[in-house]
Parts: sequence; structure tokens; C-alpha cells
Amino acid sequence: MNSDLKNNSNPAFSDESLLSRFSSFFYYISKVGQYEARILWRSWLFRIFSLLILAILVLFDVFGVLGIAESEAWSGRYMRGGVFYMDFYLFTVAQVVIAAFLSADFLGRERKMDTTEVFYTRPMSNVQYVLGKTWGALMVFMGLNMVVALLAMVVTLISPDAVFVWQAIFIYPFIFSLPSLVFILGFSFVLMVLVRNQAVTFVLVLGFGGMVLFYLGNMHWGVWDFIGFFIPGYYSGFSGLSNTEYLLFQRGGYFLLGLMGILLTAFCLPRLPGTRRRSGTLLLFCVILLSGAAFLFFNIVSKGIDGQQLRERIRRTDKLLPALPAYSVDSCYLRVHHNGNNLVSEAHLFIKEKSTSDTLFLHLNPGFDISSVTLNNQQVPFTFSEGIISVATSLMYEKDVSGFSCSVFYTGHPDQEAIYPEFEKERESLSRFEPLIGGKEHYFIRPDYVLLTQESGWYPKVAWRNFRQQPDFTNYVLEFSSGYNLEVISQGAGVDSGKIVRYSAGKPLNALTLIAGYYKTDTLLVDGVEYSLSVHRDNDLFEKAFGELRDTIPAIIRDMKGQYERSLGLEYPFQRLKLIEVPVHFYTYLQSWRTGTDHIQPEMVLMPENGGGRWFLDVENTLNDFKEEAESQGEEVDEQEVQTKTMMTMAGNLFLYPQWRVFSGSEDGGRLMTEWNRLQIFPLYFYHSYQIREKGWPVFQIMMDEALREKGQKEKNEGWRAERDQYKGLLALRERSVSEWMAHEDAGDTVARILNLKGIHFFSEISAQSKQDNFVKVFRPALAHFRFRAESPDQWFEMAGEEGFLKKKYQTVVSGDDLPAFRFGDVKAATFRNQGKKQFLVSFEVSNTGSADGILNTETAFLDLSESRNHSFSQWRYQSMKEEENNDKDSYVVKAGDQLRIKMVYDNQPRELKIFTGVSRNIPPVFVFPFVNIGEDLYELQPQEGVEVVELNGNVPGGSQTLVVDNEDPGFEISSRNEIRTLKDWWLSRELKKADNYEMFYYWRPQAVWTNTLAQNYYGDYLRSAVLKASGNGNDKARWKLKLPEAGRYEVQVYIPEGMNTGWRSRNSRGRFYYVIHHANGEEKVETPPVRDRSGWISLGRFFFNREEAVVELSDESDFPYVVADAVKWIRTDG
Amino acid sequence: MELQIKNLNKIYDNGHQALKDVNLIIQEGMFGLLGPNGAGKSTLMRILVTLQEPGAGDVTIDGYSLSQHRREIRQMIGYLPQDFRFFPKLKAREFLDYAASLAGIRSKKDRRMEVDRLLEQVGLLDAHDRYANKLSGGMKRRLGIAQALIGNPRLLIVDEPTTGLDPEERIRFRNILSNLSQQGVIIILSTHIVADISSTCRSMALLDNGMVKYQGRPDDFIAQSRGLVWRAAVGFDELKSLKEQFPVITTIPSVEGYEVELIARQKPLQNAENIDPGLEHAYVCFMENNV
Repeated sequence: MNSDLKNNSNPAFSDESLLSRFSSFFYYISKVGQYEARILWRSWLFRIFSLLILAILVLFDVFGVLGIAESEAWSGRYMRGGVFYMDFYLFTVAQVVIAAFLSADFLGRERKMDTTEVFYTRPMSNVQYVLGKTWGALMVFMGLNMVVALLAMVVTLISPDAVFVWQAIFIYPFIFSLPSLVFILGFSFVLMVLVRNQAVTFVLVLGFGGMVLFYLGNMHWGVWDFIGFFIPGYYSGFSGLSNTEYLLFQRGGYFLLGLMGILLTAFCLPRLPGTRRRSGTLLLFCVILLSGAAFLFFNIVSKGIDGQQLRERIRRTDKLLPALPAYSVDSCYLRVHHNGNNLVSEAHLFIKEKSTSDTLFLHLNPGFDISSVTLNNQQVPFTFSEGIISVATSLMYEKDVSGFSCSVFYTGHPDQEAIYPEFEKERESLSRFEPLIGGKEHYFIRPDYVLLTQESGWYPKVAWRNFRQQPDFTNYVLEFSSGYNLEVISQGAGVDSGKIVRYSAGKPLNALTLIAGYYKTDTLLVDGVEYSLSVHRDNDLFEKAFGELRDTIPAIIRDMKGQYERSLGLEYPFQRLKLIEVPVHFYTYLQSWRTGTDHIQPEMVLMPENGGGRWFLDVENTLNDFKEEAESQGEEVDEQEVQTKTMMTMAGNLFLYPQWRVFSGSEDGGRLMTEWNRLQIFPLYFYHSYQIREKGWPVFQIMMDEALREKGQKEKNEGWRAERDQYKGLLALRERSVSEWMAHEDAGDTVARILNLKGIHFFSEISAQSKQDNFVKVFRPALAHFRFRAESPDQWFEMAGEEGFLKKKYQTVVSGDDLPAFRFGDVKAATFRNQGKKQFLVSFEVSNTGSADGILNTETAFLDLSESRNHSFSQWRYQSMKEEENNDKDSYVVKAGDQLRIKMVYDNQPRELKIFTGVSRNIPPVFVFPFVNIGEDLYELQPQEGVEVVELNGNVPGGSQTLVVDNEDPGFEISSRNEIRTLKDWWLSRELKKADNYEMFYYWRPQAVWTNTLAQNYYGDYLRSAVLKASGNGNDKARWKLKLPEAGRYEVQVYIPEGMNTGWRSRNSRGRFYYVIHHANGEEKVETPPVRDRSGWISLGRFFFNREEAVVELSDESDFPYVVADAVKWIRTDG
Repeated sequence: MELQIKNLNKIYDNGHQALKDVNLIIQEGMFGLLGPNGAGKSTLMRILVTLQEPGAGDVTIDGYSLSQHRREIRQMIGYLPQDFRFFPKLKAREFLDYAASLAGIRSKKDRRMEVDRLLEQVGLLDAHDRYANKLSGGMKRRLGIAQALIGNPRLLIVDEPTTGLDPEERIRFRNILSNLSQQGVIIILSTHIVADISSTCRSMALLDNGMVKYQGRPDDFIAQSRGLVWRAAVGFDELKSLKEQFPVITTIPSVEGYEVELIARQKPLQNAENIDPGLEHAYVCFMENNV
């Protein structure tokens, strides 16, 4: 057994063969591992942690996934392996904590225990010992991982909604969790050996973890993310995991780093090594592992950088293209053969010449390889760089007037990095499904699935400077063949002749889509339109949910479509509507020139599979909402009615009237398009049917797009989120004019915002000033004739008839810098009797003090006398969808210099008047006037509706008697003590720097720094803003200073905004604001009445002021959750 | 088998010289290491069991150097350190099994036999299923001895092994060791309990301030103090002055005062009589002379 030196002639290795050395190497590792695992397993800390984590996961699974006890289930349960992903998502974070603590403990224990010393005298090497300890830890933690996997599996199998995917058992524990674990072990071990302090090691590891979770995130292509928290982990039924190469590289990199750390620990272990020789080999191994990891990470980073540079080159190349296309593709015949991960394609284009040119530019994704290009069947030389094919057309032999043919032969697959070249920093943001993460892929070509949209550049198009923004209409015929038995979907009617599937659209399209996969399709013909639903063949979600509706669906569709088209004023232009399930990893960006994304294709809506884990695609939850409603009213649950309501609510919200999502994460200052809007079918009515071509920005198209979209909405979006979008556009206009913005680099979103506003404004004016009562009717001839054609704005004006007038108006849109500016006077509501019938009068006074004509869009909301029940969100949406609007909309033109009184008469009691001022100097562009007490107006017994010109007096503050200092004026300042006492203070002082711009104020969770905010209820002559901050201890102040023209007695008034929102807990707050008035005889502290009780100008009293600076100060101390610094008024009361 | 320690020096980082020119030759059998606290006994032992590097000098076993052949030497070492109180969360049997497997006993059956044998030898068979940390002090010590003995080490190093053991346990331990010493094993025993050395050790060394002050047979060591050890009876008040004059080894209270044993060159008191010195007397005597 033991070698006996006395009996050995040569003690060094003579006895041991290579094989026995090999087996003894692993023997020690396995023995140490076995016992260390046992010890770790018995550690009370480990047991408590594990139980805690498992308990949390069980609770989540039971309540969130299985939806026990009437809790609202988590919508991600529908996703394949969603339960696994979620459980591991939570678990890997907890694992960081446990593993860090226990591995520090692992080596820390050593020092306390004398028993360690006796183990150190045993004949194992340092490597074996450390590897053994690692192995022990791995066994225990992977065991825990397996328990989590088992839990997820059981829950998935029990749940009727969750889909089981056996790959998940392998993917999440071994690809996501294991590398993270190995890295933490290696990292902690090394730290422990260097620092020799368990607590410090633990803090350092946790610090790194925290930094990754809260700061680094997936910066630099996710190379810092050792936890694997920000890597897309959803498993798609169509395409599996997203970007497996990246996944394996990133995870592999951390795995190797972890191993290196472990070997390094063996090297640095404070124990005399068995022999001296070994250290060299150990270090060599460490170097190899480090190089391996470096190679993997370098690969990731360089790929990312290459992509950036490619897109940079593409953007530059695009700018060099001609400003307007000289050619257009009249028809395109595509012959595509699907070969595993590649396509073999031929594109036969028939091209018309629009203006003389000697070069034909075509666009094709640079990932493809072009083997040849022909013109009129003659092979021609061509260049293909950054996605642009250049062919000299001057060399063509026969030049027919009607056009010429061009064929492109190409193979391969698109380059993902070349798609959406205009987006750079947006690429960093994750595709979040609250909270899980999907991939961001823009095309798919796999043996079992193909998805290609026009954005991926899979077929040639004419390239010119704005070809991406203003796509041509072309007649397409597609023939597709594949060695794999896939169902093929594209635009138009498909004919399947065995080997080849042929699609011809029948009408020109501005985008062609190719989808092939294991689908099953259901179709339904309603009023000449063919509706089809294509889902993954394993998916039976909708069948189960809407089983009772087979016969009633046509009626539902007819109803909803009719209602929508009535409010829109347009008809559905296609013969088909296809709802197609696509992989969850399919991601589209919102582009600034249209209110839709690539999720909408001609005739198609691409829906995320299994609802994409989105709560508004959660069929079961919605069904349950309606079931509960019926039960709570004591009614019997009628399955058909419940399903009908569900279908109407879901379809209505998804496709027709999407509501802004309440708590959506903003896309970093970019335009907000919630997941709802991605599926809105509106683009099929306009963007995919019309093309109004202009050089540069397609201003008219964008404006009309937005005006139409907005017309089709049921409710005007005036929540604070929409406000912010609107006022950002107006704020941008204060900086630069529209044309300056359009010339500005990288200002796409700003231009879009401005044009959206201008669009609504422009078309409102047209509606108001024309003989027809809405602009759609004005443009009806153009809408009828120009479908599926590219025309210019001039031609649209001509078609509309009022050409001269419209053209002039349009020119001022971009070039005009003048803006209207509105001031409102008296706004009131009164009742009166009209021949015995009670009626209501709403009147308001307005003057336009600006230099341009303006338009006011009013919306009167009426009192809702129906029972207000405790609605769930689904019930509420159903109600608002079903019912006609409970408000009255109108538009009024107010010319520059006008002073008007506008009266409206109603039968129903008005609740509030909203006035949208559109593009004007008024920011925010909305005013809300609630009617609380409606008095009886005795003076006008028969008030007439209409507009009268009046003389408005004294509404404009001015003159020496009344002086106002608003927070926008120079006399206003804020101060804070700026002491950095805690980490929170430091963090806040950084935030202070950002407070110069206007921010959203979170009234339910008030910011602790002074925040510039815009809102319609604040005071301001045109820019209504105030500075808000969470109430504090009186250290922070806001000050209004004014040099009075004369000494004397003045009344001081402060402006308290009306209708200030608070969080739920403070809804009954009796808080006040506290001011200090610095007057001639000293200071006086004055408090306001409870700010909820009285609003508007509140008097603080009369004081004597000298002819110097008068100062009024607001303290941030208050019982109200926040304080508002808006405006202060001095009114002379003597002399 | 012969262990040779040549010119062994060890200086710690803080400058303290723990061992200075230590030269020892140790043969098979029991070897006792005596010395006051801080003499360097533990350091010497830790160097011998490859837990620490010698500073200068060398240690060879049968000609094979400790620094060169650590792994081989580790295969034949058994070590029981001084403080042996904290165990990992294992049961007694499990702990021994772990130690046995680390000692290289691969076969499960052999390990089991060995573990049983040792548990019985140290009298822990009944407690085999209890958690090591829950054993009493003495039982823990016995477990420590068991793990040192497991795998039949050829070189056994025990540091203060019988501290905390009751007389019965101590005797049992001595028996185990003396049996072992007959089997060609080198046992190095460091202790304060001189009885352990005198009864079992074939040879011994005395370490003081890092230096070997004496090396040889215990009997010879004792012989050095023959005639210098006295026993006398003194009254209560005389004791204090006596202590100031002579090194007093034992004081046993009696009816009239104390019965003392002390060291003196000449007869210290009238009623003092010479006694045969034991190892303890010899130790005190030796330390006195070297002060």
C-alpha cells in the first residue's frame, strides 16, 4: 500500500506506472471531492440558503405559473421551457451569493481547522487537493441545479399552459449556470488565497456581481456578464436558442477563466507542493486556459466591432447614392431554393427607366455572394460592396423604351450585422419579456425554419439615398423549393405543386416576405377577405381558448373591422390578412419614418410565438377575468360569451386600438413604441398601400401616416407618457427649425416627433377649413387612385382638388418657423333650459398672440353615469372597445391675432374640456379644464353654439400693478445644501446634473432632487413648467426674486397647481407648503392651506416691500409627498 | 530506518529564530522531545511533517532529502498536531475513512477494516457514529491519534498527545505507541508529561531556545542529576524563603507544613535527604544549570 522508503532502491516513481499515476490523480480528486461535498452539504448556511431559494422558486411556480388561489398567472408560462428559464434566471443570481460565500468559506475554514494540517501532510498534490475541493463544490451546487430543474420540470408538466422541452434540462443548468458557478469558484478561491480574508473575498465577489447586474449589464457585447443574466435564454419552438455561437463563446470563456482561477489557486495554495517540478506545468496550463478565454472574448468583441464598422461603411455608402431613383423595378420573379442554412436564388427583375442614368444601383444584403448579373440576358461586369450592386447600364445593347431585364444570381445568407444599419446604440438594449430575454435576430434560415422580411435584403431592390424609407411598389412572383418538408407562406395566393411552391401577390407590394416552417394554418373567409392563422404545429393555444367561437368569429370580425374602418375612414386594401406566429427571437426596430415595424408586412401580422410571454397575449388570464366578472355578478358563466369578450378584447387591443402600456420601460429617450403597437394593423391601411415620394425626408407621408393613425384611435393619448413625446417635439422646435433638424445628423427621432405633431396639426387644419368635415374625405380621390403606387405630394394635392391652397400650406410646414401662441381666458360650463329641456353650455375664451394661425382640437368628456364596477384591466378594455366614445371632438381654427369666445352646447353633462393646441408655443400642447360646479347661467337664455370674436381684457399679466415671477424667469433659483453625507446623496448629486432638461416627475415615487417638469396644470405663459422635488427636511429651497419698481404694499400670491397626483398612500394628504416672505420689516413664515383643498393663485398675505429685491422662498419641508415651485405674483394694493 | 537532522535552522519572517543548528540522529523506536514552551519543538515537528520549509540545513530519511522527496515522505507520515479540536462536519468513522483514503488506502474493504481496527484500538468503536465535533476532549484526541496511525506510517510524529487524557487513556496510548515502536517505526513524541518519556522512550532530546541542549538516553539524563535532588519537610513559614534559595520541584502539604523536593548542590536543610531523581527532577535540574 504505502511505499516504504526503506524497501525501495529508488523511491522516485519506479513503482508507479503511468497508468497507475493517472488513476491515482483522479483518485485523490474524487476522494477529496466526495468528502468536501458531504461537508458542504451539511453546512447549515448552505442548507438555509438552498431552502430559501427553493422556497421562493416554489412560491413563484405555484402562484405565478400554476396560478393557484386565483392569482394572475405569469404570462411567460406559455413559452417553451419558460418555467425552466425563469426558475434558473432567478436561481443563478442567488447562486452567485451562495457560491461566493461558501467558496470563501471553503478556504477560510482551512485556517481555523487543525485537521486541515493533517490533511496537508498526506501525499496528494496541491492540484489534486484544490481540484478535489472544486469537484466537491460542483457536485453539491450542480445537485442543487438539478433540484431546480426537477422542480421546473414537475411544474411544467402539471401546468396546462406550460410547454415542456427536454433540452431545457440540459441548457439551463449546464450552459447558463455551470460556467457561472465555475467562474465564481475560481474567482473566490484566488481572491481567498491572495487576500486571506473570507469577508473581504465575499464582498469583492458580490461587488463584481452587483456591478454587472446594475451597471455593466450587457455592455460591450456582454463580455462582463459572468452570471449569464443578460444573455437571451428563451427557447423558440422554431429556432431554439438565439445565437448559439455567441452563447457558447461567452459561457465557454467564463468557464475557462474559472478553471484558470482554480488552477491558479492550486499554484498559490499555502502548502508545500509535493515536488518542485509541477509548478511549471501548472502555470503552463493556466496560461493555456487564459489564452483560450481571451481568444473567445476577443472573438466576441471583434465581431461586434466589425459589425459597427460595417454599418458605418453602409451608412456612408448610402449617402453617396443618387438623391432620387433613376429606375424602378416593375416586376420581380424570384426563384429561391432553400439549402439548409443557405439560399440559392435567382432574381429576375424587369426594370423601368425613370430618368437618364448610366448606372443601375441595386441593394442586396452584403452577406450574400453574387455569382453573376445580367442585363437583357447578357452577363455584365458589376461591383458589389457594402450591399450595393453597381452595374453600368450604358453598355446595354438594346434599349427598349418599356424597360429592360436584369437578373441577379446569388447564394448564401444575409449578414445579421448589416440589417438595420441606421441603428447603433439601440442594439445594446435587450429584447425584454419582463424580465426574461429573447434574442434579436432579423432573419432565419435554418433547415427547419425560414423567415425573411424585406429589411434583411434577401432580394434585390433599386437603391437610392432614401430607398429604405421610401420603398417602391413591385409585382412579385416567388417560387420556393426546399429539401425539407416545410409549409411556405408569402404574400398572395400560394400554389403548391409538390416540389415548388409558387406565390404571386396579384398586386404590387412594397415588401416581400418569405416564411417557411412547421406550421398549421386555419383560414376563414369573411366578406371577401381571407383571414388565416398560422401557428407552430405543436401549438394548440388558440384552439383550446376559442373552441366555442367557430361560428361566431365571422360576426365578431365584421363588427370590429367595420367599427375601425368607420373611425379611420379607409378600407382594408388587401384580400388577405394572415396572422403568423414567428420566433420570439425575431426582433424589429421602430424606425423614425413610420409608425410600424417589420412585424407588420403586407397582408401579414407576425406575432411572437406563444404570446411571447406578454401579458396582453395571455389568453387564459383574459378568459379568467371575464369569468370572474360574470361570477361576481352572480351570473352563470356562458363559455361562448366569455370567449367572445376575450377575443374582442385581445384582438381589439392588439390590432386596432392599442393602449400605451402603463409601466413600460422607456427605450432610452427614443420614441416609445410599446409591444402593443408592434402588432397594430394600421400600417396595412396606409404605409403598405401608399408611397408619397419626396427627396430627402418623406414629410407628407409621415404626417399623413400619423394623422390617419391618430384618427383611428379611440382615445386621445393624453397620459403623461404621451405628453412627454409631444412636448419633446415642441421643445426641439424651440432649439432649431424643422428644416434644420432634418438636415441634422442622427436626429431621426426628433424629426419624427416634430413631424407627427405637425401632421396632426396640418390635417386638423385641413379638416377644419375644408367644406368636407375631415381630411380623409378631402383626399379620397387620391386614396382611391394612388393605391400601390409611388406618387409625389403635388400629385396628391392635384387629386384632392384644392391644389393651390394645399400646396401653399404644405410648403409652410417645413419652412415656416412662425408659431401660434394661445392664451386662454374664461372657461366655464353652465346649464340652461331650452324649451323645457335641460342643456349644457361649455364656453371658452382664447386668443392667439403668435405670428401664425393655429388650430385647436377640443374634446369634451361627459359624466359617466354608469355603475363603476371594480374592473379588471381586461374588463375595462372591453368596455372602452365596445362602447362608442363618451366624448365630443371638434376643431377650431384660430388665426394669428384672433381673440375668440367659442361656445358648445350639449345634452349631456360635461365633465371636463380638453384642448389640444398642436404645434404652437404652448408646451405641453394640451390644456385640461375640469368642470366641478356647473352653475346656472341666467344671462343667456338661448346660448348659440359657435365662434364669436371678442375683446379679451386684462388676462395678460403685466403692468406695474401686477408682477409675476415664474420658474422659467431669471429671478427664480433653486438651492440645495449639496452635502454628500451618504451614498444616496452622492448618487443624487450626479442626478442633479441631469436636472437641467425637463424630466418626468414620478409623483408616486418623488425624486429627491429638484426636477424641471412640464405639465398642463402648471403655470406659465406658454411654457408651463414647474420645479418639483420630494419633500425633505427644509435644507433645500426654491427662491423667487424680484426688483420691485416702487416701494409699497403688495399682496403676495403663489401658484399651486390644481389636481396634483400622489401615490395611493398619500391620496388623502393634508400637506401644505411653507413659504418665507422677505419683506421690508424682516421675514415672515407663511403656510398655504392644504394644497389639495385650494389651487390656483393662493394669497399669502400683504406685506410692505422696499424698492429693492423682494424675495419669496419655498422650503422643501412639507407633509405633502413633494413640493412644487411654480410661480409667485406680487400685486400692488396701495396707491 | 534512520532520520538525520543536519544543521537545521529556521528563522520566521518576524526575525524570531525558532531553530538554531539543530543536529539530531533518530533511530527506530520512541524518541522523546522535551523542552519549555517556545523552545521550537512544534516548529521542528512541522518541518519534519513537511508543513514548513526548513530555513537552512537538511533533513534526510535513509539518505533521501525531505525537500526533494516530499511526496514520497508524505506517504509514510502520521501526524498528530498539538491542538486538535476543530473538525469538519463529519462523523468519527467518516473522518477516519477520509484520512484513510487520503493516506492511500484505495480499496473500500481494506479501508473499512483499517478504520474498524483503529477505532477499536483507540477505544472509539462505540462512538463511531457520532459527529467528530461533538466528542469530548479526550475522545477527540483519541480520534486524532487514530488518524495519525491510519495507514501504518513509518514515521509518526505526535505533539503533546496525552494532554487532556485521563490516566487510563494515557496508559492505553502509551501501550499503543510502545507496540508500534517495536515494529520498526520512528516515533517522535513531544510532551511535557515526563512520565510518557521516561517509561517508553529509548532516547530523547531536550530543546531550549531552538537549540539541542541534550541528546541521549533518558537514563543518562536522569543520572546527571543524581545526588542533587533532596527531599525535606519544612514548616509553613519556611517555604517562602526556601523557594527563594533553591528550585523547588514539588510541594506536598502535610500536617506540619510541606514536604518538598528540591535541587541543591549541597544538603540544603538539616532534615533533607537525597532521593533518586526522576526525569522531572532531572529536567528542572538541567534547566537550572543552563539558566
